[in-house]
Amino acid sequence: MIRARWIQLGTAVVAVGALELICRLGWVRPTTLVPLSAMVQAAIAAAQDPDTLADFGLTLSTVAIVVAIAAVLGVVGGVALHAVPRWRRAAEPFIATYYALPLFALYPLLVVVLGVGTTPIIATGVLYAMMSVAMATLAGLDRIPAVYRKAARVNRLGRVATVTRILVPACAPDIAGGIALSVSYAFVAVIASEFLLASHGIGHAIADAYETFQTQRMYGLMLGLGVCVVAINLGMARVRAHLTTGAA
Amino acid sequence: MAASASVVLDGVGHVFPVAGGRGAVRALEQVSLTIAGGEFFAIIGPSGCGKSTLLDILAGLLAPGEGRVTFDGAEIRGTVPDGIGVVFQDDASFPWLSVWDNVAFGLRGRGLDKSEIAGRVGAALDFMGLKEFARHRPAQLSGGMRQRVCIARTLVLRPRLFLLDEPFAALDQQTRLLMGYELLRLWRETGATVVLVTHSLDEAAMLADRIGVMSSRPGRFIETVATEWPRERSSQILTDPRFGDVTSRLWEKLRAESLRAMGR
Amino acid sequence: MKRAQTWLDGAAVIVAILLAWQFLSLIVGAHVLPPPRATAGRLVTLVGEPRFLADLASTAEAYVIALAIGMAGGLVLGVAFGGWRLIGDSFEPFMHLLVATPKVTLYPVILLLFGLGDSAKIAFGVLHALPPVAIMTANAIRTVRPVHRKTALTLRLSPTAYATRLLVPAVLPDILGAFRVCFAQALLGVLVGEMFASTRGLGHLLMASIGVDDNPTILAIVAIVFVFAGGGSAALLAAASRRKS
Ligand SMILES: Nc1ncnc2c1ncn2[C@@H]1O[C@H](COP(=O)(O)OP(=O)(O)OP(=O)(O)O)[C@@H](O)[C@H]1O
Ligand SMILES: [Mg+2]
Repeated sequence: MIRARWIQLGTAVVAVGALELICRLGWVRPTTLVPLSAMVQAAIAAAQDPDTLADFGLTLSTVAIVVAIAAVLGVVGGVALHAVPRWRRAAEPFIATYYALPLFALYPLLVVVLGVGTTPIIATGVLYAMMSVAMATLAGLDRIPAVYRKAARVNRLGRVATVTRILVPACAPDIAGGIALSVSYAFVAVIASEFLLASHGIGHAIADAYETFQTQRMYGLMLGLGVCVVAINLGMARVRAHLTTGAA
Repeated sequence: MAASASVVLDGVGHVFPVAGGRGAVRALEQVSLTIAGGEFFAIIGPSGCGKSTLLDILAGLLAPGEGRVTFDGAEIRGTVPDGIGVVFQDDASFPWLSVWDNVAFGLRGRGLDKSEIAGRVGAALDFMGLKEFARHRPAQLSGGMRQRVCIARTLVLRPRLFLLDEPFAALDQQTRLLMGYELLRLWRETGATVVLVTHSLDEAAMLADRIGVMSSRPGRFIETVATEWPRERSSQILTDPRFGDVTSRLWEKLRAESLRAMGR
Repeated sequence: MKRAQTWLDGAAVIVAILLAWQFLSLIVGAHVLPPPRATAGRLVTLVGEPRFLADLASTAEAYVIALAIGMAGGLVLGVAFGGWRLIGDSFEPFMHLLVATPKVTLYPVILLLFGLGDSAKIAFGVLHALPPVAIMTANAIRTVRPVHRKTALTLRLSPTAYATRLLVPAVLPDILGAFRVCFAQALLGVLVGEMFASTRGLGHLLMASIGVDDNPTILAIVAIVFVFAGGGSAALLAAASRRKS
């Protein structure tokens, strides 16, 4: 494990060094690729630009809204499907192929139906993100030992109380896993939609920098976004680790 | 049966390095033992004393750190020799193959012709009472039946030495008894040498010619008990007063070691 | 009996989707959201157009290449990651990072490196398809049970027999699963690639239709893609579950 860490570090250092070298030596045009140092500079410059910060804020808040809606819909949908085995059997093939569908091909239609702005972006994101929560909820409910349901009946809990006080808490680690996945899906959908057709947001800013040949700024924005995504993922991994050990 | 030595262990010891850190676990120390050809030998000992490690060494799955092991006069050292069949404690049936293909697994690619393979597999399935299940998948069988598939899979290779590591541990008491008789029958009819690791004193006392009692870790043999049952033995042994003598002797030896293994 | 019911329920879900579509179309207007019938009609005329067939062929070609590269490359990397602990520990985290990043943002990089054209959209397809295959294969190989490995040793299999008769069958269901993901991801990657910058292909046609608000064509293309992706995925799923039982 320790050796692997060193190899990782070495690989990263060599990659960054090679990038720096081929750029500084002029082997690639600066309109194609810029060294990491230039990316960092551009990221810092972007962080001081209020318009770019606003774009970042918009993207992050859109993702947050998407995840919140997807989490609620996913859990409710998962519990409902679990409660009615017949629905579930019918829906299973569709659930299984869901992520095979290029869902954001629907985005242009959503624009037509819902108008421009963040609403179609949120809708696309929810379409994408919701199913991972629903699938995780189903998987979690499947794993709940029968004795929990018996405990609920012995304690004379009603249907709703059984769901909210026993079933959902019992599969909280699974649901958290599904939500963590849904964050990735939400990012993909939101940024892809912004990139494609929107006039705001960090996805649009990247597309714009690309189209106006501001290569350095484009890489800087990508770096900033990458750092953001990694930080959020690490944070969520922490929370999930806490949940799992807490529940165990 | 041939009374010549089948397996000879001479001063066998083994130390496991502990992953990641310094320090090590000594699993076996100075194990010496001779098992005669055609003998049924059982091994009992407290949990974690090195029984599985010893069996892995006998099977050639693990090279012993110290000492020598020979099987029919040839040294075993970390490679599996011909003529050895192993049944593991965990279910080792392959879920992606039918029962028939599981049993035939080790025969394929050995240059045997089809009818020979079919004959041996059929006989083994018959012997293990699995004939009607040849086309089933392991997932459709009970735990005991799956373990029988694994026994059949080693049986078709006609090993001269059977190594069984708690093969019945996952089974209920009744099935266990029945499997014990089947093992006895197999031993009688093949004339092979059997080494059986078990947690059950009764099982050891009922089945084996001799029982080796191991100490808590690092494992070594502190006693071997001979049962002197006739080769044609049956469940009547259970009512024989000598059966009680054997089990109480085993328990006497094992009690102190088990307490020590639990750190009391 | 049970089987028939499952089929019926599945058909009911499809009917429900079509009805919802029809209903939505009634609410927002047929010119905004063409109903299923009109879409089917457009689909029929579309298939008669040589332009469309050329686009379809272009997408299909890029897709097949991306699928092949993604699957083969993913398998090789996956076996390396899963078979050798140090390689896996060292390099697999980079793969995980790649899976987690929204790959659209990498699109400009791909374009800058590969230029406009087919190689860029193939590269984009591979970028989507390869990492999940590598990770799934590596995980599958790592979960081959130790007792199965030991059994292979005691049955004295040769290294090739070990790989072909034990490892491959043991992880085959997972490889099929990985192929299913690869199937979908490669399509997604190629289509998105075409939407952004290609001058040919279904993705490009989709983008062009968006530009002129040609909603029936948009829906017809979406329907084709959905039926292909959904149908292919369902078929692979059925194949996998047949293997299992
Ligand atoms: N691969 C290994 N690496 C490190 N230590 C090991 C390894 N295998 C076994 N050990 C250690 O060696 C000792 C003996 O293990 P072994 O599995 O042989 O015990 P056992 O007698 O079979 O126990 P049980 O009756 O519970 O099956 C144990 O303390 C165990 O922790
Ligand atoms: Mg053991």
